[in-house]
Amino acid sequence: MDKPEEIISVLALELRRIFDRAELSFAQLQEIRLRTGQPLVILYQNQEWYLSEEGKRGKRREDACRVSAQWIRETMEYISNYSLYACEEEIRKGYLTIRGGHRVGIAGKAVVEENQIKQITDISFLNIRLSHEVIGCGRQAYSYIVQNGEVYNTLIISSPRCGKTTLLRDLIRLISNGMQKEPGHTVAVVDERSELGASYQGVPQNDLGIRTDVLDNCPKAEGMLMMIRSMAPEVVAVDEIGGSRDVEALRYAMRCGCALLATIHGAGMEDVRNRPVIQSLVDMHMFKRYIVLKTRAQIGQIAFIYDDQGNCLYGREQEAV
Amino acid sequence: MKGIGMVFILAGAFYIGQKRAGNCRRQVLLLEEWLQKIEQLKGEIQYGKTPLPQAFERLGQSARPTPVTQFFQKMGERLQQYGQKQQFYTIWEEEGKGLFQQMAMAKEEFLLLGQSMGQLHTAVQTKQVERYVQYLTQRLQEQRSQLPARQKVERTVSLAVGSLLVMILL
Repeated sequence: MDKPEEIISVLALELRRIFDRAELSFAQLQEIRLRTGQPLVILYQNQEWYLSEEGKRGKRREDACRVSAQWIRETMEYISNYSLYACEEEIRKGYLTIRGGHRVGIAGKAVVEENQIKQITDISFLNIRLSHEVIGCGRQAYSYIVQNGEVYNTLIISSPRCGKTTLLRDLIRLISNGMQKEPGHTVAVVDERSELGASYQGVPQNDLGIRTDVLDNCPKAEGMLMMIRSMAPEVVAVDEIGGSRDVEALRYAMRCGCALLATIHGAGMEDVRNRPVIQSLVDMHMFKRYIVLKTRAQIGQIAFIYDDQGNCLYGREQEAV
Repeated sequence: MKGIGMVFILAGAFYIGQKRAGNCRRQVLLLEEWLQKIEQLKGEIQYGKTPLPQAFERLGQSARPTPVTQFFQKMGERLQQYGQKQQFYTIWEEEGKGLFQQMAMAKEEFLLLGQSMGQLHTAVQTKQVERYVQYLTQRLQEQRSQLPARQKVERTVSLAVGSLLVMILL
């Protein structure tokens, strides 16, 4: 297996041994799921597989090795850089981002105080989601969202695990560097979950282009306002908008004359349009382009591109809204 | 000739006695330094939320390296070693070899802190370090009060052994 150090080094020693023996291609590995007392499961080439103690991939549950509580404890020790207390805020939100931009989802026992999750203790479930930088996957979309030096406000819509973050990352890079006759633009990235830049000690590990400024680990709404005031960007990029505060900040950014690149979870245009928070932005034609990604396809593959009038610019026209 | 030899033996015994008494004092000083560093560590955890590798690196910085600062420095280096991660407790145990003896501490006393370090939430972790600090403070007080007596014993025993040797050789 072409092992990425940043993934292997956070696994418990026993797990490292299993993955060392496994014949897997890192490029095809999407998730590693650890559940106390349950079989070791990986998502590989869009399919769920069990891993045996010998590192053999299979479909029979009986052959799979069982994940122990000790493995999860040890893995958490490495993921938190030996300092669980220093990651409390991230753990409270249910995820941690590790070197390389990979995200680790966390579940266990939630400690609730006044209807707020204060802590997650007895961590028993981990989902290590591997981030894959796919250079060039945004080329197709680029020509639809950048025209004659103008960057259109764009919303990327897809279900989880379809590559919206990957596509956004590549679009940021292309817009920042410029492509063919199109000049580059100054891009401000508010990277709340460190997934776009995968910053390590403030320096992005992923290529986000030469004119990109990154505000790492900062809430989107506050971050957008800060970046607009301090870095004078032409384009602002954020991942996974959803809350009303995010939408307010988007409006502010648009009023300031910045172009916007954003992503949102959704099954399609209709799904997004039906959400009260986003609906107003759609109705007011604030986004000029909507990119909908294919589900269960190659990461970042585009199904449709719509304009603000609902015309389908790319993809099968009969499905246009 | 005999007289000169006798003087040499007694001088040697006196020197050894002084050295051993000095070691007793050094043990107390090291324990003091250890306590001070653990209190600093508590501050780093409680107020700075500094991850342990960085906190240890800071604690290891010193113009005059001592076994305690060297321990923290090595811990910091090993915890930050990329790609070859080991459990905290294992590293703590390996790097602490020899240090606890220099502080006249039992191995278990030393390992106590390393057992759950970094695996707890801030409040619990801080409490744990606090308890360890309390224990160390008590230990240090005991050591300080016993120091003059221990130094006296070391000196007396050395001189007694020297005198005995002189008598046997005479």
